[in-house]
Formats: sequence, structure tokens, C-alpha cells
Amino acid sequence: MSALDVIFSGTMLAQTVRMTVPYACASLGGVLSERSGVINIALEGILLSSALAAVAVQNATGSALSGLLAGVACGALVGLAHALLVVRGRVDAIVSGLAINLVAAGGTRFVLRALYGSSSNSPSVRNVEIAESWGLFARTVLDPFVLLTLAAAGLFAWGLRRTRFGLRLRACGEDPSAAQAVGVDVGLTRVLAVTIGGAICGLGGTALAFELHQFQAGMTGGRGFIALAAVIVAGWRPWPAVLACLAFAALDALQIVLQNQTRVPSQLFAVLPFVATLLALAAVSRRTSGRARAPAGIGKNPV
Amino acid sequence: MPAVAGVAAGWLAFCLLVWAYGASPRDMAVLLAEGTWGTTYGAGQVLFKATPLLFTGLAVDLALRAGLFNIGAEGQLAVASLAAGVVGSRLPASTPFVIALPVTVAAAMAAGASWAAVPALLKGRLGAHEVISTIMMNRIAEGLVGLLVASGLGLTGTVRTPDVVPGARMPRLDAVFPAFRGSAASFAIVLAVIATALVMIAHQRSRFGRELGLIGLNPRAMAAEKVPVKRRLEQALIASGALAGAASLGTVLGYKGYFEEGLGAGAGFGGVAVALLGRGRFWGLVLAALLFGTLQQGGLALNAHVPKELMDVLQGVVICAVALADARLRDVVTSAVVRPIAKPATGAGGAGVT
Amino acid sequence: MAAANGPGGEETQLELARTRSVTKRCGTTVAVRAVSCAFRAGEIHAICGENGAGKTTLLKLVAGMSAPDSGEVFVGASKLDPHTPKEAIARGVAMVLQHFALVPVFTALENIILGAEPAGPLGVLDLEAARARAKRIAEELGVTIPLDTRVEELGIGDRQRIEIARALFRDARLVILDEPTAVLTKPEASALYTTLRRLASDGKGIVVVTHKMDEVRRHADVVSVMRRGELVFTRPLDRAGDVDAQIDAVTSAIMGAVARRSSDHDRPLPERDEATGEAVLVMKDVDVGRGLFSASLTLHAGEIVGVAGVTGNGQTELVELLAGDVAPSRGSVVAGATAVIREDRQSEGLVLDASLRDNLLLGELDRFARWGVLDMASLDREARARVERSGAPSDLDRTARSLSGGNQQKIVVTRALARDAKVIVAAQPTRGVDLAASLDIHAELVSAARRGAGVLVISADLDELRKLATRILILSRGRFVAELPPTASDDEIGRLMLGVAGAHDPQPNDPSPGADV
Repeated sequence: MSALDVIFSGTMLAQTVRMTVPYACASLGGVLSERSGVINIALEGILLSSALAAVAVQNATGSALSGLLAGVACGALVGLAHALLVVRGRVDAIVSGLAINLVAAGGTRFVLRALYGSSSNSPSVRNVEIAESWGLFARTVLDPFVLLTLAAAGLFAWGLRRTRFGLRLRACGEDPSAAQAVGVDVGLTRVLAVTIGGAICGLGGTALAFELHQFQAGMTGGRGFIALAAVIVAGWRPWPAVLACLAFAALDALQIVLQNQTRVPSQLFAVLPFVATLLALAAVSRRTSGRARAPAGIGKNPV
Repeated sequence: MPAVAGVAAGWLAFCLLVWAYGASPRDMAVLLAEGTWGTTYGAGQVLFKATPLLFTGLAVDLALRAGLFNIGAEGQLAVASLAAGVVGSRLPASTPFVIALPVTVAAAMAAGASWAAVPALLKGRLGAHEVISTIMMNRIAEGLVGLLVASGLGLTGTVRTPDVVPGARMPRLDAVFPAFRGSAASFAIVLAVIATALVMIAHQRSRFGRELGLIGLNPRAMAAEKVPVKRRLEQALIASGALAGAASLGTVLGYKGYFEEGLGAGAGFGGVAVALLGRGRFWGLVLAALLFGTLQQGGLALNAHVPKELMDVLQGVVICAVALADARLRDVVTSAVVRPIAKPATGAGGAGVT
Repeated sequence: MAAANGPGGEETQLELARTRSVTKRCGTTVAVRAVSCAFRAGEIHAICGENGAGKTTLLKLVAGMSAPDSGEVFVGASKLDPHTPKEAIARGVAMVLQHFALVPVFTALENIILGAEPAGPLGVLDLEAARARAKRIAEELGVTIPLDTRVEELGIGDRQRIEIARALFRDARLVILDEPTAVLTKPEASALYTTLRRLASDGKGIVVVTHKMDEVRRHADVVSVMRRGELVFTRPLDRAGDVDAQIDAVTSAIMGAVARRSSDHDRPLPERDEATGEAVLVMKDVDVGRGLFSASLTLHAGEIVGVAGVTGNGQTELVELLAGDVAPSRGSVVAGATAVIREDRQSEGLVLDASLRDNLLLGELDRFARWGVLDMASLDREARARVERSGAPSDLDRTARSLSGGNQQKIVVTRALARDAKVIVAAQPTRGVDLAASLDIHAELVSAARRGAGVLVISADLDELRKLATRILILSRGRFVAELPPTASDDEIGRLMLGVAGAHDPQPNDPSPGADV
């Protein structure tokens, strides 16, 4: 098959959709967190640690569902840690995020060796089962992770606009001093937002691990940061963020295909997603007004 | 004191994790001490590991003073190391030390500076979030360096460059102090300490350094007084990249004598930990570099019993503990990252300001 | 909600909130010292005092926004516990802050309901109910509020109405307003007080922080005076008696010991030569963005010109223009070397966490650098000379943050005046500055003019302008609408701040200009 055939094939499309999940979940987590005013660069660490948690639990219990729950719970816990450090501990959000990423990177390898004796791979796990007999389209669209991601995106988009919690969350992100003056508990709202964000990010990590059927050290490969860039590119809105992630995932999938197809050195394609992220970031950073700008109160605490 | 809190928290985490892994904290602690400062070889290794950390710590600290977060030291160092290896090996073989070394180091620093120039300009001209752009540059550097080594800059079939000329090598410590025999430590550590001292002085006594510090505290006021803030921020990131590039002194020129893929990995992030723990003071940076150097070497010494990645976890824990204890770290950085992203739109009839 | 008798009536009003000997420190200063004060329903209670007297701090204690170091705050019959804004709001106390607490990107409706949102199960917002209730409140207040417009697009008057509507949405019984008329024109202020009187008649308690005596004279039922953190007295204003005498008593209580000193300065400043110098600043038909239109002004060496106007009418754009931050989109500006004293000293004028040495020479490090290295000796010499000239404490190593507002401003002023500029622009030069420091700053500005600079003072403080300037330009909605001598009255100036006929269409609910309450 020629490269073009492969690129535009249905398999490729399905692959892209599935690969979008980790990016999108991390991105949605970033949206919630940042809309409430907390910068979250720990997405990478959350993806990684929840991936390991999901694999470890599934290995131990044999159930993919329990693995999934473990992954989400781990994501929520790490998110909570970030939230508490930033909100209660008044630690700078970037420092906290960095620290969490470092702990996750080292910690996952540590646990990997502790549990399985290897510092790079875990034993294989099954993915969540879908009948093989269904068509590719159905299998992709009805993939539980895809469905959950879409549901989350819809829930967040609607919730931010139409619920009490969503209104307060946005207020904390735009003007925490004003929010506090009218009685909103800014700290609590932010902690909740970041924790829920961590949970959805954990879903992404689980999806990543299940997709590859094992945990590999460093398997997130920068997705968490690309997801954050997607948040910025999408103007901190849920659905556009998912779309941006789709674009990045497409690049990712493209890069994998091209690596095998042509004679251009593989490293060039490996860096493609990162270069694209850089360009996207450069293109949108000028945006300073209108609905697509960052929450004005991000990083600020109530006076 | 926050530094004490950091060390204490690190110690606590060490004991906890070792115990959880199934080993004895006391035994491990003894092994750690023996493997690092217990022998001259170990001490030498600690110095060797501390050298790039001190340079990268200096780099991150400089950026931090201006309110910038340079997480790209990793990539800057990689590119610079490659440059050092390439330039150092292409000089005439008989170039004397006084020329070869400075030229090679200058090439390395220039490479580091150029690598930092991309996020610097993205920030200065377009206001791009430098945390993300520097992280992206790290990953791109990885690919680029590999590509360049594979396509001609390196020795065919390997992942390394040719040896640098003898004039460009940093003499090993064991050439003068036989006690350090076998360790990779070179006089680069001396240069690192001297560089730290010079840069600290420059922060107080040079126009650039003083202005950067003031910009980090309140860029709006500086802009109001017509200081070219954006230009200074760009210059700060670029200077930071140059300093990170100087770390190749210890790894390429002082140790291997050539560049190899992966040489110096981890020093970039380690530099962030050093800068945060060192809190902008000469002794803070030096001791922090020695501490993390000890941890890294200690990890290797313990690796048979307890995974060395434990030390990475400790690094993160120490950062958190120091940050929790240090009020100043709390607001300085975020505001600089956030400002370019969100310039509030001016509305009609702004709210009353007093 | 009993109909209230006027003050002096036999019925005692319902007490809504009370402080008992509360003390609050801010850093090393005691902002509020052992103050006991009560606030009742049905009356407009004015709290007066100089800048820094502690008025805002006291009321923030009542509203739960900060906690007292000692003493208690009672809301209704019981102590305010937990001492949070949430609890205070739940008990019926609402405070409208000076800078408002509105989220700019939210609509008026979203701001009104924030924190007290009507919601169904699962927390889904019931916007219909919210809208209906907000409309009802607006009707009762007799005002129109554009509920679906984003607050960042609305003017000050609207924003204030939204704040009040928000207080009512929460069934507030005690409404506190901090310097509400600081940013309003005269007719807007009258409209506000009409609304407040209506609320008081409905049985609400109204507390207004103000330092404007004419407002107190016209509208207050009860007056409290604070000076240097202490409550001097609380007295009802007896409208049947000699109001002037009572107001004089209030004024002298505010001024206290400073009164004597200030009377020395009540003498008009010595005659200055009228505009003899050459023109140091010429603006012709300048437009700046969406804030300044067709602005023309000429400033001569040796003269002090005042620009009157409330924030939001183009002052910021004018300052930015003269400072060189922005270029005019139309017209021309020709100016000599310009030094600017900016409005917001804490964020634009000083690096609070840097030393006085650094702050005094902010932006001038080039002068002391040779090959990038600083000559610390001459840097120190210059800094020392400046700090002594400023009158601020002379320890060069202390941080600017550790100084009082007045001393901070002195640093900023000294720095600006040390530049030997031909044009000096001073924006709100004594805002938030105590009286003594203000006098010093005024003297500095005058001597700068005497030395040959042209000084432009932009201020919302009409007394300041009258004292300093030989002519006053009125800036309203981005245009210079008039030029008046310093002898002009508050009313004249206020009316002109409204704008020329046609440029401002009166809102349907504004009272007609003639109707003073």
C-alpha cells in the first residue's frame, strides 16, 4: 500500500480517534483546572501515574473495569495533591506541577521495579473488551473510552454554563477576589475543579495504557504538555480543546505511519507533533481579548 | 529555613520509600554515605555529577529572577553538548589549551543560547507561554541531536562524535589530586563555582542583572519607566540558555572527551531543583548542587538494592517541601508566565480605580 | 419591615449590626482601634474621615471580609461566626466595595446571582427565576439594568446599580457602600442617594463611607467620624436644628490637630506669573484609541494646569499618551522631556519589594553603568541625595512596601521631579495620601513649576485642583469640554463633567438635572 492509501484508510481514522482520547482527557482536565484559576502542568504526571495504576490494578484483579476505576481514582488523587499544594499550601502552580511530574516519572519507574522487577515494561493487560465481530466504525465510536471522553466534554461544556458550580468555577478563574467577596469559597471550588480535572485526566492515562496493552516507562511522551497547548489553542473551551487534540493526535498517527513508509529519517517525524505544538502556540498567543482569552484570574488568589 | 525543610522532607521520603520497597532505611543510608562521600572515588563522582547541575541551576536561577521559568535547560544542554563535541573535534589537533578550550566552550554556550532563543523570541514577540515552548524544545532537541549524530556529525554506526582535540579537554581532578583516581570529576567543577560567584556578583553589580531582578518583581513599573522589558526577558532566556550550555564543560570536555547521545540527560530538570532549593544565593546553589549530586551518585550506589529512580522522587519531594516552606516562591513565577497570556481587555468606562 | 420614623422620632430603630471594641492591625499600623459602633434600620449612616482613618477597614470587619484582632462583630442579635463574607451575606449584610466586586466577563445577571444562584436539582441554574427576580428588584429600585450585557461593557453608574441589585437579591438588610460617589458625576450621585433613601424608607439600613461633606449635609441621618483608627463620635443629624453648625463640628472632628496646620495653607499660594513661559506641551486634535477625542491643550513653562474628571473619562488615555506608552491615532503631540507620576503607585510607580535605593533610580541604571557594570558609589550618592530631598525615611535598604502610602508617593514624586523634565504630568498625586504628605507633595509641584517646568495635574479632587492650578480643564467622556478658572464652583464643574448637550443622553430613570434631593 502506498503511504497515501494508508493515511486515508479507515484504520488510520479509527486509530486517530482512539489516540485522541489521552490527549483529549488531559486537555479537558486542563480546561477545568485553568478555568477555575489554577495552572496545571501536572497533566503529564497524572497521565503517567494513572496509566500505571490502571495496569497494576488490572494485573492484580484481572478486571479491566477495576483497572479503569483505579486509573481514574489515581488521577483524582494526584489532582487533589496539586490542588492542595497550590490552594492550601500556596505553592506556585508551576513549581507544584513540575514537582508532581518529577515524582511521577521517577515514582512510576520505582513502582514498576518494585512490582514487576523491570524498570521499563509491565506485563500485558487486556483492553476493555468489545466484540471483534462489530465493524470498525462501531468499534471505534462505541469504544468506551471514546464515549466517556465525549460525554465528559459535553458534561463540562454544559456544566460550566448551566450549573451553579460551573458559574462559581468560572468566577474563581476570572476574578477570585470578586468571587470571594460575594461569598464563594474560592479555595474549595478550585480544589474540586482540579480534582475532577485530575480524574478525567486519569481516564486518559488509563486509555493510553489499555490501548498499548501495557505500561511502559515514559509512555506519555509529552502528551500532557501538548494537551495543555491544546487548551490554550482552543481558548480554554471544552469542545474546541477536544478538536485541537484530534488534530494533534492525527499528527501523531501520521508520524507513526510515515516513520515506516519513507526514507526520511525517523527523528524528523518524531518531533513533528512538538513542532506543530510550538507553531500552534505561537499562532494563538497574540490573542488577548474576546471570549478566547485566558481566565483573567488564573494564578491569582483572592485578596 | 525552607532549605532545612526540604532536606528533612527528603530524608523522610527516603526512609518511607526504602522501607516500602522492603529494604532497611538505615542500611541504605549507610550505603548511600559510603558510596558518595565515604570514598574519594565517590566524592569525585559527586563532584562530577554536581558540575552540570550547578551550571543548569545557575541558568534556571537567572531566568527565575526575571520571572521566567526555563524548563528547557535539558534541550539547551543537549544541543550545546553536541556543539562542544563537534567543534572540539574539528579544531586543528595541535591547538593549545588556551585557545581550544575557550573556543569550544564558547561554541557550546552559543548553541545553548540559540536553542533558548526560540522560546525567548516566542515569548517576547508573541507572548507565548515559555513553560510549554521550552518543554517542546526539549523534545525537539532530542530528535534533532539524534538526527544530526546519525547523519554525519557522529562517527558512523555509533551515537557519538569523534574525540575532541587534546587542547579542548578539561583536565581531570585525578591528574592533580591522585586521591580522586578513577572518578570522572574534572576541573570543570572549579570553573562552575567560579562562574556561580561571578554571576551572583553580576546580579547586584551589573545593569543587566539588577534590571532583571526588578523586572521579575514588577514588570509593569519597569515598563512604565521605559525599560525595554520584553527585550530584557528575551535576553534573560537567551543568557540562561548559554549558562545551561556551559554545563557541557563537565560532561563532554571533562569526562568523556566526546559527545554521546544521552550524555547529561536529567541535568536540565535537576537544575530546576537546584535553583529552587538554592534560592538565589551563592552558597544555596553550590550546596544544592552538591546535595543533588550526592543523591544522583547515591542512587547509583544503591541501585542493586533499591531502584535509583527513588532519587528522582526525592527530587520532586524536596522541591515541594522547599516551596511549601518558602513564601517568596509562591507568587513570583506564576505572574510572569500568566501575564502575556491574559492581557485584560479594556472596557468602556473602567471600574473606579483608586 | 416597619416603616421607619425619621431620626429624632420616638421609636428606636431596629439594630442590624454592631461592633464592640474591635481592633484591626494592618502590618505595623493599627487601622482600627477599639471601635464600637451600631448600625440601624431605616437610616442612612454616614461614616466620615480622612484617607487612612480606618473607615473601609471597619466596615470590612462588619461585612465579614476581614476578621478583627480583638473585639466582636454582631449581626442581628448574635455574633458573626464563622467570620466570613458568606456568613455575613447569609445574615443580611452586603457591602459594595469601592472598586466593585464584579466579574468583568460575566453578564449583569450572572453577577447579580453569583453566590446566591437559584438552582434546581443537581445545581442546574434556574435562569428564568433569576431573571424575573432581578427585574422585580430593578423595578422596585426604579432603575433599569441591562441584564444580558457583559459588565466590562458597562459604565460606572450601571455597575454600581448592579452591585446594589446584587445586595438586594440576597435580601440584604444592611447595605454598606464604600465611597460610592468617588467615581460618579453630580447628577449620578443624586440619583444614587434617591435610591438609597428609598431603600432606607423600606426599612433597610444604609451605611455610606464618604468624605464629602455636602453629601453628609444633604442626605445623612446619622454621622460617625473616624480619625486615625478611632471613632470620635456617632451622632444623629438633627435637621430641625442648625445643620451648618453640626457639619462644622463634624469637619473639625475629622481634621483634629491637623486643622490648624491646614489653615495655614488655606491662604492662596503666592501669585505666579501667568503663563509667561514658552509652550512645553502642545496637543492638537488628538485621538487616542477609544478613550480620548479631539483633545487639544497647550501647557506653558511655569504654569500648573489642572484636568478635572472622574476615572473612565479619558484620564488614563491622556496619561498613557503623554508618557509615551501609546501613539495618537490622530492629531499631533509636541512635548519637551516629560516625567510622569502615574495613578497607581503600587503597581506602576514602585517595585514594592525592592529597596528604596532601587526605586529612587528606577529606569535610570543606564546613567550609572559603564560597560554594563554599575558604579555603586555614585549610584548610592544620587539615591541618598534623592531620599533626603523627598522627606521619606532615609534607610535606603528598606523596601518600598514598608513605607506608608504618603512616603511611597513621596519617593515617586521625587524621582519624577529629579529628571529635570520640562513637562510634569501628575495623575492623582495625593490619592490615598495623608494630609501632611499631600501638602509636601503640593509644595514640590509648585516649586517644580517655579523652576520652569509645566505641570499638568490630573485629579478627581477638585479642592486640590483649585489650590494648585491657574486654570482647570474639564475632561468628560474623552473630550475637553471646558476651561474654568479655579474660582469656579463645584456645581459648575460637576455640570460640565456631564458633557455638552447631545453627547450624553440622560437615562430614562435619571432625575432631571434640576431635581436635587
